[in-house]
Amino acid sequence: MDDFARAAFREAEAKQILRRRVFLLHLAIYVATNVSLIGIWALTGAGYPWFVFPILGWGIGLVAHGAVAYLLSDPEEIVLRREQQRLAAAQQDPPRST
Amino acid sequence: MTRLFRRGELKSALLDALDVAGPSNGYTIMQTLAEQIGESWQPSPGAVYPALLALEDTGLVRGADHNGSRVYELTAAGRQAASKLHGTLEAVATRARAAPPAPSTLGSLLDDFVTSIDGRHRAVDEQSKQAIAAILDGARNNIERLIGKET
Repeated sequence: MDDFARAAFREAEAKQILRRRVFLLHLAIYVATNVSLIGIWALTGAGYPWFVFPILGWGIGLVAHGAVAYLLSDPEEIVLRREQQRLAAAQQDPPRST
Repeated sequence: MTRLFRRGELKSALLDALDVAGPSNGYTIMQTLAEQIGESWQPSPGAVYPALLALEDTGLVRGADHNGSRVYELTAAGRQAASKLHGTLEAVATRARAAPPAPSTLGSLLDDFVTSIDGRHRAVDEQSKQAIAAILDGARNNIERLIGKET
């Protein structure tokens, strides 16, 4: 693997880390906001549990964001990951000279 | 920011660049692209390397290790494809020149600087820490002076 390939892998890794951090920030905001809403609901008589609507509605968006951050990849990232696996396999099992 | 390259166009531009520059390693190919297209677009290994791998997969480009660096060259099929794609780089360059330059912020410049530093998670000893802090302090003062002049 040459420097150019290493730089490409590093770039893909940085992109993935950033995407995951943005999702974790989203998750933190989701939790903080909804806990506050539950608090408001409890302090205002704990009547009809209206707080479930933002939890469910926003939850759909949160799950979609999580899927993008952890499950889906750009085509470039898929190609790079495949190449990284191929290089790792080649290193473990070098071609035998006959 | 709009994408400069249309779908599949980066691969065509790479074939065109290899046709222009001859057998080259990744950085030379990026340099050729940057020179042809101009300063408004900064190529990155993260975009160029996967495109080169895809071209290798389709048999248009052949890569060979040479002195610790991978050198790419067009295959016969690649040369044939490149002859049909001649002018792709020029077309992208024309479009790049027509596009308004992306606005830079101080934050984006600092982000670029941080990500460009190799081994930034490496621990440093006390002496290096002080020297680095002094360099960064100097840079901050200069930047603040410059920004102060502009506003």
